[in-house]
Amino acid sequence: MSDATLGRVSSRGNNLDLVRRRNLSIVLTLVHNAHGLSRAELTRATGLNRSTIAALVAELVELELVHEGAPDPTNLVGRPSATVLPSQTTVALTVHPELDAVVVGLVALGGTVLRRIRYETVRVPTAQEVVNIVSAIVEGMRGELTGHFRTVGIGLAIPGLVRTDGGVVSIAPHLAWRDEPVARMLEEATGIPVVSANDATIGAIAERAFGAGRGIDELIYLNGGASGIGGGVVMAGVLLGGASGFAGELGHTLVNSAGVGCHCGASGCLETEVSRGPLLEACGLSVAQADQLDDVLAARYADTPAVRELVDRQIVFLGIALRGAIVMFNPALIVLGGFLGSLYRSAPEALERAAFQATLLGSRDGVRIERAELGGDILTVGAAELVFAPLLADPTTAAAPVV
Amino acid sequence: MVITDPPLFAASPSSSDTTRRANLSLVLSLVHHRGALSRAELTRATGLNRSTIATLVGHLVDLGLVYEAAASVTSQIGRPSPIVHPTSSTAVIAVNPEVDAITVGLVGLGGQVIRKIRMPTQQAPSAVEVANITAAIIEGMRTELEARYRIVGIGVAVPGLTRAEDGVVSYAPHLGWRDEPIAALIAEASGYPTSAANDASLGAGAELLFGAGVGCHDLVYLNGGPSGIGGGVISGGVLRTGRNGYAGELGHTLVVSDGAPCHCGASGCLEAEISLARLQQLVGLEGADIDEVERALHEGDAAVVMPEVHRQLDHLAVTLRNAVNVFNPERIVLGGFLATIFSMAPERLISAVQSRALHGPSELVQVSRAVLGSNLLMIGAAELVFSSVLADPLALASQPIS
Repeated sequence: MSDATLGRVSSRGNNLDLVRRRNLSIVLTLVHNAHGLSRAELTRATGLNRSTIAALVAELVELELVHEGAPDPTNLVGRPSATVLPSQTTVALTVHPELDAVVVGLVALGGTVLRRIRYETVRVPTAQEVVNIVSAIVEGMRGELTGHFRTVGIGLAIPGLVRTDGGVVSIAPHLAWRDEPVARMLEEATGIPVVSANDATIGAIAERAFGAGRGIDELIYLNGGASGIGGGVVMAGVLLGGASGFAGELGHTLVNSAGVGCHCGASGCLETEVSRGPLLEACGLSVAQADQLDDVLAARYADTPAVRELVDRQIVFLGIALRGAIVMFNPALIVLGGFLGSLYRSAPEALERAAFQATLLGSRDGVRIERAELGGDILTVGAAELVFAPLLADPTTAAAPVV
Repeated sequence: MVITDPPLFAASPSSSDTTRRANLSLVLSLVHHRGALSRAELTRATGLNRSTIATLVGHLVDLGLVYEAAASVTSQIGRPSPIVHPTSSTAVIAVNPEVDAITVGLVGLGGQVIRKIRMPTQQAPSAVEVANITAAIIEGMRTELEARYRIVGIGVAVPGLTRAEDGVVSYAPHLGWRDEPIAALIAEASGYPTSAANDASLGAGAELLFGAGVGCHDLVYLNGGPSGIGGGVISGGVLRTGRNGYAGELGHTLVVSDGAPCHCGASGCLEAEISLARLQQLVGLEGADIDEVERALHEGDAAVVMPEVHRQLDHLAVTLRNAVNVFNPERIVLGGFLATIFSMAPERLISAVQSRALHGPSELVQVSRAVLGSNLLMIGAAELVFSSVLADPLALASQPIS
C-alpha cells in the first residue's frame, strides 16, 4: 500500500523547483551520512546521470555545504572520481543537561564532533541555569562562531517529554522540570534558533544516521541510563513523533502486573522493573563507576549467582517490553543502548527467547537486536542531526555562506 | 522539533512528468476522500493556481475519474465554481472472509458502498473456497459490471497477518490459514488484479479517511471481532505498517502477568483475556453478531453483565495506556465489541487510561467509537486498490472506459 496515498494527501502542489531541491537534498544527505562520497558513488546511489550529479554537486559547493577533495587513491579502476565531502564549517551547537552537568558540543556537517565541553554543576541544573551556562559558553565562542563557522542552530537533548510545537519541556522528572519553555529561553538568550527533543528520540536519530541503524527504515531504539529508560521509534524512515512529540515512551509499558509503583502513575512499567541501580549495586560499583558496568556485568554474570539471578529477572521483563514493541511496530531492528545493551551482552539468547516468545506472529520473523554503536557522543551527534534536518531536507535554505 | 527526515535510498529522484502525476494524484485524492469539491476549494486546498487546477480536472475528466456539475444556485458572490465529483462507476470489488461468512462488495470511487453480498459459510472457509466464492459472485454480476463499471481491481481484508507487498496471509489463526497466497488465488480465479492486507490496518485507514478519524493525523484504531483483536496505527497521517505489514497488533501486548496462554505462543495478551465469545456467553447469544450482543448487554441485568464488562474494560485500559505512551495519538478509535464494552462504561475506560498514562500524551487523547459500522472493511479493502489509482491516475489511461 502506498503511504503517500492511503495517508492524508500532502496538502501542497508541486513544481519543477521542488524537484531540484529534492535532488539537492538527496545528494547532500548521502554525503552527510557517509562523511563523504565520490561522484561515481553518488551516481550509483541516486540513479541520476553523471552530468546531473555534477550540476547538483556544483550547486552544493556554491552553497558551501560540500567541497570536493582529492580522489580516494585506493580506488584504482577507471577514471578517478573526485570525493565530495561535507563542509566542516557548517556547524550545529548541541546541549544536553544531565543531573550533574551541562554538556555543550560543536558538530560539523557529516556528524563530526569538533568540540565537546562538559560543564559540571554542583546540583541538578534548573532550566534557567542551563540557559545561563550555555549562553556563557556561546558568548565565549562567539568570535569563532561568527568568524569561522556558519552556525545553523542549537540542538537541545532533554531527558523528558518535549512538546513538538514550541519545544516546551512538558515534564523532565529527573531534572524536576515541568512546563519549561527552555527552547524559547535559550533562543532569546543566544539569538540562535533552537530545536529540542527527547534524548532517546535523539539517540534513535543518531543511531539511524551514523550507528547500528544506518539505512534501516523500521527501527526501535531503547536506551537505559541513570534516570530510566527512553525510546525512539522510526517507522517508514520517519521518526514517530505522535500528536505532540511524546511518542516512543516504551519505558512506560506494562511488563509486570505485580510490579513496583512508577513515578508516571502506573505500576510495573519497564522502567521500574529494569533499572541500572540494582545492577551497579550487585556488581559493587558506584554511580561514578557506571562506565565499567558493561564489562563487570558480563564477567559477574558468568561467575556470581546473585548477579545472574538479577540479570535473568531483568532480561525477562525487558523481553516482555521488546515483545510488545515488536507486535506494535513490526520493526526490522531493535537497538539497545546504555545498560540495556549490557544486559543483552550478558545473556543474548535469553533476551531473544523472551522477546521472540510470540513465535507464531509474523512480526517476529527476522527482527534483529543489536547494541547501539555510538558511544558517549550519541546525544551530541543526534542533537546536531535535529539542527541539520531542515538544511538536509532543503539545502537551498542555507544562509549566505560565511566569507 | 523537526520530525521530517529526508529519505535516503528509498526515494527516487523526481522529474517534471513526476510533478504532473503528483498533482493529478493530489487533486484526485482530495475529491475521493472529501467527496465533491468545487474548483475554488481545490485551488485553496492545493495551493496551485486556478488554470492549473482547470487543466488537471480536465485531465481527470478525460480519464473518467471525475465529472463536473454546475454549482448550486445558492452559492455566493462571483462566478459559480463548478463542483468536481468522483465517478462511482470507477469501482473496486472488496472481499472480507470471516470465520462464518464471506462478504463481497462493490465500492465506487469516493468510498461509496454500492452493493454488498454476505454469503454465510458452514465453517471457516479455506483460501481456495474464498477465491471460488468470490469468482462466483463476480460471475453473477459480470453483465452489470461490464456494462456500468470500470473495475480497477479487488481488495481483500483478511483477519490475520498479511504481507501487504504480495498479499500472502502468513497466519490467520481463526481461519486456520498459514502461508496462503490469497491475493494470487483470487486474481487467478477472477481475472482481476488483487491486493490483500490485514483487516484492522484497513479499518484504521478507512476510519481515518472517511470515518471517526477525519481531520486526525495520529490515530490508533483497535477492533474486536469474532476472530480476535486487531489494530492499526496512523502516524503523521500515514498508515504505519512496519517492516512487512504486521505493525499495530495491539491484541498481543501484555495486559496481565501469568495470564491465560495465547495462541500466539505468549500469555496474558489482551486477545487471550478479553473476547466477543465471553460477551456472547454472558447474554446467552453464542454466535450472534455484535449488534445483537450489544443490545442484549444494554438490556441485560447490570448485576450480571457489568462485572465481566468491567473486567474486559480494565484489561483494555492497559493496552490503551501503553498505546498512548508509545504512539501519543490524538484519538483512539474502538470498533466491534471493544466499542460495545466502551459504550457500557465509557468513564471507567477513559479515567483508567488518563490516570495511568504519562501526563503529557494523556492530556489530549480522545477515545471514540468507530463510525463506519458494517461498511468499514468494504471501504478499507477498496482503499487498498484505490490507493494505487490515486497514486498515479495516469496509469489508468491505458485501460478502457465503458
